Amino acid sequence: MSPPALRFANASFGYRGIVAASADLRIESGEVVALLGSNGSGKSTLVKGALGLIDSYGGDVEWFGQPFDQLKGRSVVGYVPQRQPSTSPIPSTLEELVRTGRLGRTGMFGRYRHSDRYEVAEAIRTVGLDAQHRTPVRELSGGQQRRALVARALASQAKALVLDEPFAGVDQESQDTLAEVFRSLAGRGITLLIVLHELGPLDGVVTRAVHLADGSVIFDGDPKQRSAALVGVDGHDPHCADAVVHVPSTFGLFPR
Amino acid sequence: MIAALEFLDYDFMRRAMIAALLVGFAAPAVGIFLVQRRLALIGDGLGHVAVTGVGLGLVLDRAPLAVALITAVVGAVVLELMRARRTEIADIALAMLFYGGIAGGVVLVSRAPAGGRSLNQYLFGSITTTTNMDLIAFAVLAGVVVVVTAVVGPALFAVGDDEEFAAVNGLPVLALNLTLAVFAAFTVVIAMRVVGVLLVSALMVVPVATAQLLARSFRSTYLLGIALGAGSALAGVVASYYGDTPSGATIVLVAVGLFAITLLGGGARGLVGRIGR
Repeated sequence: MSPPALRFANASFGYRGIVAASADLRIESGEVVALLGSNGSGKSTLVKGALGLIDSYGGDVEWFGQPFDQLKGRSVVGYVPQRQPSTSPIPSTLEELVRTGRLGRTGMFGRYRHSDRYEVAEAIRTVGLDAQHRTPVRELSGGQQRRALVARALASQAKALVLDEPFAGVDQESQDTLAEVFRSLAGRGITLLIVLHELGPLDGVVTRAVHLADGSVIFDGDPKQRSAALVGVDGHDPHCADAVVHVPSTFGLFPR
Repeated sequence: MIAALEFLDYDFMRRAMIAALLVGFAAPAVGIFLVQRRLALIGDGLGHVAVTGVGLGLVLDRAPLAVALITAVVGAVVLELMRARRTEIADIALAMLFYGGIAGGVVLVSRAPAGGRSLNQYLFGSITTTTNMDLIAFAVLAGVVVVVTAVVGPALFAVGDDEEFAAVNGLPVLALNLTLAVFAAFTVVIAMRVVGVLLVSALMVVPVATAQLLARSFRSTYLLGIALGAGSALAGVVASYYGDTPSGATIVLVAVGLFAITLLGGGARGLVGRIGR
């Protein structure tokens, strides 16, 4: 049996000694998982913890059966942060941006070979920006910039992508385009862990919803059942904010 | 010798031209990564710290440039570590280091046998007093800076663009940032003999600022910045010879003039066509 793409085993993460999110989850290869919840619920904390970007306060995280910092070829995991890329005063082309994603494969002293150039071009093509590959990133629209970040993560031939609110600040048309990109990636068997406020255009693409409130998982299961299960929880009814939805183990939670 | 090139008859001018060329190459090669990180003025801060090193060297009667290099490198490492930790007091601590650096230098120099006269050449630059030994030191430092920034340039660019993504991708973010900070210190120490501590950041920032007005990619900004830096430095030395003006300030005025012309030329991008990759 192959190891899961991502496994949180009683893992806790936070800042300055304070635990902000905990989880006990197993995400299989090829799943498209939406990590949902209101602002401050711990979604971004959880994914940053999984990527080793913030402090861990217990438990374990494994990607493809290995701790992230010992993962052979970290490039199997791609990260798409929430930020827009065009904040630097120095211009850089889309190709230059996406090429940085290749460093996970080549290493910082490695040569940039023909095969690397091909993979960069392929990643750009996947997100539908081939015509803009020499365009300065700051001249791209918000939606195109977000697709550029997806291409950067794909350039390392990642088997799993972590996307932190990819639709934030993106217009509806671009959201639909991004959703098509994610559908295509899912079709290629790439595991997707997507932080979202709502499913929106990904309804139908996401195969599993994990809902967080106050740093803990309160729902893990079929996206179609989420709304019904969360009535009275996490803002739906403030008088019931502490309620916890009991999730069948078949939804992927480890037995505690 | 052609009359217009008569300045090349003088040894001190030939040395000055070589020193200017070395600084003109090295400063933008480091500066572009500082500007990318919005740390354009960190060179000024390191220059202030280097003044304490100069003062210490003069008091101890040791090579002031060598002591300044050590002091600037230590200062650069401390600054980068504080920036990496993002502590609330980091900003104030930086200011203390900067002001303490120049104040410490002034006090130490006042106790040195040569006194304030020596300090002036570091504050305002004194390229025409460059010795052959200085040139060798400049060449080694500039060579290391240009070669290393070219080799690890893509990784430095990646970290400057997005530290979190670079970390997830397995790049040694802190080590790369420390490398850049140390190279900024190297460049500051070379440049302070050429343009002076008070203008030390100018050669790191202004050619890059001009280049980014014309270029459309990071690579072309890097190459054009180096060309403009070297060109400004050489033109400034020649202009200072004929105009009998301070060389450091003249170099910086040439660089700022090029920036102003490019900016005012305004539609330079549209008229001349943008420089591609």
